[in-house]
This record gives sequence, structure tokens and C-alpha cells, in this order.
Amino acid sequence: MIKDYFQLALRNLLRRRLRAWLTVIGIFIGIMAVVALVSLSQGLQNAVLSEFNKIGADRIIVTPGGAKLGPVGGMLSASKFTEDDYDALKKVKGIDTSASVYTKTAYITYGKETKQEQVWGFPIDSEHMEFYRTQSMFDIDKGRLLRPGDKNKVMIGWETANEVFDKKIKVGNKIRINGQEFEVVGIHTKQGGLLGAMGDKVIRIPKETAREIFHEPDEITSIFLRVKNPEDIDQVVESVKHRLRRFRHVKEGEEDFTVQTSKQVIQTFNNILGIVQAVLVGLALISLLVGGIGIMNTMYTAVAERTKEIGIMKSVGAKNSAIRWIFMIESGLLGTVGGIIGMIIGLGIGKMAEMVALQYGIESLKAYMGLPLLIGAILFSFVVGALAGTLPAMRAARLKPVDALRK
Amino acid sequence: MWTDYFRLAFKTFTSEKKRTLLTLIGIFIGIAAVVSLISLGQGLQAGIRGQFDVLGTNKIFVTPGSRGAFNPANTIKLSQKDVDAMRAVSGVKAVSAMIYKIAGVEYSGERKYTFVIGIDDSEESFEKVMEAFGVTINQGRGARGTREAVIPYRFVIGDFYKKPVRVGDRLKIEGKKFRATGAVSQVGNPQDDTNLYITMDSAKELFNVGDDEIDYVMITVKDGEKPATVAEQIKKRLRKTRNVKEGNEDFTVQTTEDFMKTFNTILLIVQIVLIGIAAISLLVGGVNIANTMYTAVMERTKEIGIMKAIGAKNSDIFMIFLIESGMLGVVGGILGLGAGAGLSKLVSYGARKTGWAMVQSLFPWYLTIGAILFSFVVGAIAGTLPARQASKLKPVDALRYE
Repeated sequence: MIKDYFQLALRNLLRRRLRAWLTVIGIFIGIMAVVALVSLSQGLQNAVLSEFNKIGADRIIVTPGGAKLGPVGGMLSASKFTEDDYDALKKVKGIDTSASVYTKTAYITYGKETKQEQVWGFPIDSEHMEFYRTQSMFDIDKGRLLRPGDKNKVMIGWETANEVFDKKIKVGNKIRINGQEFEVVGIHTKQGGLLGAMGDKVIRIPKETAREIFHEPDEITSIFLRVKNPEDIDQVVESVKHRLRRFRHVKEGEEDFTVQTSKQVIQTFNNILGIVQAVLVGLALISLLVGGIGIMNTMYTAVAERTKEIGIMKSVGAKNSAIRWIFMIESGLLGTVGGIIGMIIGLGIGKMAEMVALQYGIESLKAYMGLPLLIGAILFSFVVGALAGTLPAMRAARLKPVDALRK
Repeated sequence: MWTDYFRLAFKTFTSEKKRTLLTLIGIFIGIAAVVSLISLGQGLQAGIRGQFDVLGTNKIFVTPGSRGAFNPANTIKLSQKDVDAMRAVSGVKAVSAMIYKIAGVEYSGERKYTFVIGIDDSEESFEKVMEAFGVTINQGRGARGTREAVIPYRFVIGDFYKKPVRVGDRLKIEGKKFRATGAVSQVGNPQDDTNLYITMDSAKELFNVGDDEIDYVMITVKDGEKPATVAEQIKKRLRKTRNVKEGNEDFTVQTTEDFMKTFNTILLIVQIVLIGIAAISLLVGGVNIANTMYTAVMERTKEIGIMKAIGAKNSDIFMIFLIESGMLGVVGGILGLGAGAGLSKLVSYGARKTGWAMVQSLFPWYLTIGAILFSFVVGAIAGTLPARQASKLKPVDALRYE
């Protein structure tokens, strides 16, 4: 029975080949746009997530400033942290390891060039170094890590070494930070990707040295924490807030500091990407709506043309539901065929955009081609077709045999 | 002759009501989407230009650091010596220095964090500097000394603190008492409408910063001087005082025009992406028209045959169908224009409600004409092939067609 419906639908579509194709094109353009956009934005989102997930879900970052702008807000904030704040909270229960860092923009001179870059001063004893290394996810490509006793020694990121200055910096070269000479002892492995934008362009020196060259005896700009047990992270955040509130004499809800977990940072990023995706896909969906209207139009025309045929089918015993099915399947087929073609071309566009991005050195833009997208696109286009066909199919089903025959 | 073509087209529309309506909807949706996006984009652009107009094109902005206007991670500052050097450049009328920090501001027991901007009023009055900065004090007066502040729009309308702040009220900034002596009118974006303004002396005392930690300098250029030329002079002078070579600058000098260019470029890219995606639906709408027209040609094959048999030329037939499809486009376009206007008004209303007064909806004449013309073109192009097919029909075949 169902097989007959399909055969009938197919034969009818082929009878009006041009119209069927134009209708399919209407759907295929929309699905193509939606699939290409979803594939690219989902790919981007996945890339971001997988990079962030490397940080681990057990990290907390504490920065001064209550404007909820995160680490960036901290640098503009009127409130500052000192080592005392760090001492006050590092013993909070549930914290495994912690480190306080001091960062400042400095003038970096190499050869004849002077650039301004962020310099990070951090504790270099072996325990803190290892924690900070995993926190900031850097590895040494050439040379070595800073080690206790190092003074006027510096580690630099891949981009700092290879791209910031005209001449490449090598291990053993000397650079000047605010006029003070430093020996480059280590160059980090290239991170690439989105995090690379932050991680490849860095200058890292011992915190004590930073205090000396910046004449800053006590200030810190951020505190990194790792919790013992990732499940307890929310509780540890609360304890840290509580401890800092008491130490800094501020009321709950009026904190002049920000405590963020790595999960929250990911969430924020995800939300922004989600909004962008929604806007773009939303706009592309409009064309699918128009394509659906095209299907509806084609189906109404088909019903009108085949009124006599419907009358004959009914008079030889076809039930209303059978007529409805024939037309619904026909419009569903229009949608699905458009969807399949659109999906293939859409994925092709996504893949092409990925390759173009790669040419420009953007590695994070990977076209997502997961099964949910493939199945979703086909299913969705079928639903659009079927929905668009509902009204015409109902009209066909309700035709009175006598009236239909007389037409 | 022409009126006949139009009459024929209309007759078809009324006889095939449902199909005509559905085809119209197809175009109407696309035009509505594109029109509302363009309208909002133009409105936003005009809003931003309006802010720059208030600011004036005779301004130059100097920020520390080599990466442009707003790089919060930068801890390099400008010094008083730099400011004095800029003052000495010929063509400079006035120099206003600024410090900004995020600080805790307390009002009637509620403490929140916002930008506090310290304004140098040593050369010109506070009010004058604010005005040059593009912000108008519309209530009370500017701040003097170290205990007065001028409050932003969102403090006044009461959507920042639970209670609206009035001129004369007391606030605490980082624990120190201040009195609101004036309020400013709406800037148009939620962020800037929470900026609190105090004098540079207050800011220095409050945030414990020295003379040499200036975040932002705004320069007014003398009448008749070219801002771009003066900007070059300032760069030269600053390189000397800050002792940096060309190419190694640790400061950024931008004119209003530079800012406007940057903004316009960004806005243009965003607009192209959004409108481009929305325009896909117009393409689909056009395909729908083509489909409708092919169906119409097929259904009226016999009619075409008769018309030809009694002397209609190929071009007549072509025009009849082309006008029909062009009309489908135009009518859809006019309806879409109306809906797009409504939609854009709605969005700008919603934006205003959430503090984005900058987002207006704008209808320049070329948008109206352009939308209608464009929808006609879409319709006509979509109808070309079907109309050609109709015009090429052989009368005999057409008459024989069942």
C-alpha cells in the first residue's frame, strides 16, 4: 500500500519535471545555507570547546574588580590584590595547588626594535612551575624551563620568538625588558588555535624579577587555583568568596573581586557563539520558509490539475486518507530530495570555507559533519515538505467525488 | 497596448488567487527581511555618526599602547609631560586628559561596579571638556574639587540602582563620599550610560595614581587646521618626549575620521554578511515566481495559441508574461517593504527599551525605491525564461495542446 503511494507520488512528480525541479531548488538553497552555517559554527564551537577542555574542569581564577568583566576587568579595576589576599585564600579547604602571578605591559627590545608585550611574573619553584605550566598549557620546544635561582632569565612563546620581531629570537639570545637585559633560556612549543592567540605571544619571567624591574613590591594581578576534587568546585568557589569577603571587608553581592571557574569561562564563550549562530541560522531559515511556500504552491497546483483524477480514484474506492497520503508523500519527497542535495552542497561549502581559512592560517575553523547534522537536515527538509503539503493534501482529500469528476 | 498587458496580468491574479498569494508571500518575506536589516544597519550607522558629529570632526584621541583605542590589558600610561608636549603643538586648541577605572560606587546602601572617569579641568571648565567629549550635562552643573560627581543617564532613570539617583544625592566611590552635582543626557548604549564622571584631582586622590598615569587624551584642533596634519605633528612630538623611534610607538593617535572609518568598515562587513544570508530567501522567492510563471504558461498554452492565431506577435506574448511576473515581484516588494518597516521599528523600539537608543530605524528614500525596484527586477528576471518559452510557442502546437 505504502509502496503504491510512493510510486504514485514519484510518477506524478516526474510528470511535471520542470515544476518539481524548481520546487526542489527552492528547498535546496535554504537547506544548503543552513547546513553550511551550522556546519561552520558548530565546527568552530567544537574547536573552542576542545581547546578549553584541555584546561580541565578543576581550575579557578580569582581576579580583582567586581564588574564581572573577568581578568580584563581586573586590569582596569580600582581595587587591587596583594600577596596578603593570596595568603588569605590559599589555605581554603579543597584547594590542591595555587599560584599568584603579576603581569604588566613592558617594552621589549630585541635588536633595533622595541615592542610592547605583556610580561608575566610567576613563581618558579618546581611545584608552582609545574602547576602554572599545566594551567597555561605550555611546553618547552627549545631550551629549558625557568628554574629556581634563575634571575634575568626569560621564557618566551612561539610567536614572540618567531613573528613579533623582524629577526627571530633563539635560545641564548639577549632581549631587554624595560631596559634590563634578559637571557632567553626557553622557547615554548607552538600552541596554535584560538588559545594560541593568548599563549603563543607571551613573555614569562620569575615573579621576584618582575617585582624588581617593575618596582612593584606587593601587587598581584591574578590568582590561579586547582581544586582537589572537581566535583567540589562550586563549594570551593563559595569558600574562596567567603574568605575573601571577610578579608577585604565587603558584603555578599558587593564583592570587589571576581571568582571564575574554567567552566564559567567556557560557558560565556559558548553563549556568545550560540547567539551568533542563532542569528545567522535564523536568517538562513527564512529562505527555507520561502522554499516551503514554494512547495505549498506546487502542491495546490497539482491538486487543481489532478482534480478529475482524484475524483476517479475516489469513485473506484480510494479513501480520503489514501488521497491525503498520496499528496503528503509527494510534498514530503520534494522536501527530502531538496534537503539531500542541499545538505551535500552545504557541506561542500563548509569544507571549502575550512580550506580557505586554513590558507589564511586559521586552524580552528573546522567544518562539522556529524551524523546529527546530516540526519537533522534531511529530517527537517522532509518535515518542511510535509507541513507545506498538509493543507493542499487536506483539500484534495476533502473533494467530493461527484464535484471532482464533473470538473 | 500597455494598459492591456497590465489588465491581462491583473486578470490572472484574480483568477488564480491562491497561487498568486503564495507567490507574493515568497517575495514579501525576503524583501521584509532585507529591508528591515538595511533599515536598522543604516539607523545604527547614523546613530554612530550622530555621536561623532556631537563629538566633532576636529578631535584627535591619544591612547597609550600601540594597539589602538581600547586595549584594557595594556598597563602603559601617558604622562603629564606628554600632555604638556601635546599642548605645545601648533594647531592644538585644547587638550583634555582622562583617567578611567572600574570602581565600586555605593548609593543608598547598594554597592555596584562601574567605570569612573576622571576629567582634567585645569585648562578648561569641566562642562566644556564634557561637551567636547560629546556628553551633555542636562541637569545641574559639572563637578568641582574632590567631592563632586556627575551621574550618568541610567543612574537617573533608576535602572542601575534600585532607587533612582537625583542631582544633590550622596554617593560613595571606593568608600569616599561624593555629591552628585549634575547629570548627563543619554549617550545611547547601556555601557557608556553608566559612566560616572569626577574631576582628575578626585580620581588621582581616590585611586592613588600619580601625574603620569593618564589613560586617554582628547585634543581639540583649532578651526581651519586639518586634524590629520595635526595628528602627524602630535605623533612626531610624542615620539620625541617618549623617546621612541618611528615604528616602535607606544601610543596610538587617531582622529574622529579614523574612528569613523574603522566603525563603518566593521559595520559594513556585518551588514554584508547578514543581508547576504537574508537575500538568499529572495533568490528562493524568485525561483517560486519562475515556477508560478511556468505553470501559468502551461495552463494558458491554448490561450497563447489563440492570441497568436489572431495576430499577437511573439513580443506581445513575451511582454504579457514578463509584466505578470514583474508585477508579482513589485506587489510582493511593496508588501515586504511595509512589513520590513514595521519589523525594523519594532526592533529599534525594543533596543531603545533596553538602553540602545543608538539603534534607530531609518528609511532613506533610496531604500524605499531600491526595494521596489529590486523586487521588480527579481520578478522580471524570474519571469524571463517562462515568458520566452511562451513567446516561442508555435500557434498550431499551442492550439492543439490539451
